[in-house]
Amino acid sequence: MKRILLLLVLIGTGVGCSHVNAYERGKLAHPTMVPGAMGGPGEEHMYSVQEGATGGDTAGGGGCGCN
Amino acid sequence: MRLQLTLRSVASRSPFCLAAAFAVGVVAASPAARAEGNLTARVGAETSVFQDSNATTVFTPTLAAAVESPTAGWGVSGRYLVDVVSAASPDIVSTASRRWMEVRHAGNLGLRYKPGNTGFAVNGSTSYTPDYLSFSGSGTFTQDLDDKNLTLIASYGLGYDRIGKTGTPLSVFSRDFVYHMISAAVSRVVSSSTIFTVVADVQLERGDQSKPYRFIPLFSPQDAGKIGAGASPDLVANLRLQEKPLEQLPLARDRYAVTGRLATRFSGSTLRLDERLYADSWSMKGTTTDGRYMVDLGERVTVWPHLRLHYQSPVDFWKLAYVSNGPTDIPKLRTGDRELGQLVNVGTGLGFRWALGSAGDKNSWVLTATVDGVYTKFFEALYVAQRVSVLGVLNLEATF
Repeated sequence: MKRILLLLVLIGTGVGCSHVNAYERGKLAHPTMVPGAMGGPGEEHMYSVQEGATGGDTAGGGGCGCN
Repeated sequence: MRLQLTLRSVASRSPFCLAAAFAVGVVAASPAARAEGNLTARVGAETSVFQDSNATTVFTPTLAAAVESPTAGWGVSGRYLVDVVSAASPDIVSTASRRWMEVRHAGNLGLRYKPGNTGFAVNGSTSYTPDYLSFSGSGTFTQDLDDKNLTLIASYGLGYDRIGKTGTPLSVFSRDFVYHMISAAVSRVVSSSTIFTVVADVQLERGDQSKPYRFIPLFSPQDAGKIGAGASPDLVANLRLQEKPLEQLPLARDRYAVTGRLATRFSGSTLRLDERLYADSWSMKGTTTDGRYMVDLGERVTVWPHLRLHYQSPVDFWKLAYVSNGPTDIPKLRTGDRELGQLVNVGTGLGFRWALGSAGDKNSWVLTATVDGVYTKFFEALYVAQRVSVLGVLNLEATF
């Protein structure tokens, strides 16, 4: 748990990250960089049935510069 | 009007006809729905087919549509799918039941509003089969910070299911099952080509989610040792005791997951890696690793290999062979759900994305096809020691 909290703090404070301006986000806006999970409903359903675990489907953020 | 008449005329025939007519109608009608000004409309149709070595087949047509205003920051989206499931698994054979077929309808509707750095979204979904009714709703809060280099996401969802039996009205027999879903995510732009996201999920489940069809064989202490992993239906039938109680799971389950997601873009390819760690109050622990390396073949075509590995330990009440010393000695908790036992999944697949739009707007039409195969090893389960499954998905999406 402490490691997870430490990781969140590092991510939140941007340690090791560079500040990226909106005009520098061409690569981040590529269709393969969508923030959420890549699988469609069929794939997600298959894994939800075949795996006893759940979670991780929440989409990511606005890194692509879009709303 | 033409679409409405078409739907009405086929609705009485079968859900297949309805879904197919709706898919064709949405795609055909899309030019009429072409958005004016700064609105964007998106429609998609997906079909997936699943088949496994336990004689389970699932056919799933899905329709999706969305309208959004990128400048005003609002969006509306909806999805409807039909699952047609046909099964004759060893569990069914062992209970002398015939192959069955079931149709599930599911839909969801989402609204979102994010005019600036702060956003809200709500989603509602429902699914229906004759013996299972499900409703859920969720709300999500999003906050961009540091010039959108950092995004915080928090969401809460509430689900309510009614579990019944086919052929018996829900008013006569049903169990209520309620679950709370809480998520928090942090997404960080690491560089001009890399995003890293961490998602924490908590799901609190309350109610009896035991399957009302799943009978659990019991064995005498002398015979239990003769049952090995993958024991045949005949061997189980010969050695089991006469008592055959229904499955009984604990009435509460608290589930926790932490997922890390890395997406990085190179000059002509994208690497995506997900790692999920999972634990719950039934003592199951699991790890899931998912990776895709997406390579551009020119400006329009992207292909990728897909690899997914999943391992989980069994729940603490899992037994290959439940032991009973007589009719009054029934194990309090018992299950035959293989997905609650120890297993490993090794999945691999291929994906293909083809941008079919015009030269100035290549991604206005996109065709995506994927094929994934999964090999599963069940370490301690009756009837089945391993399983092979294949999922094929074809998706067409248009943006206007």
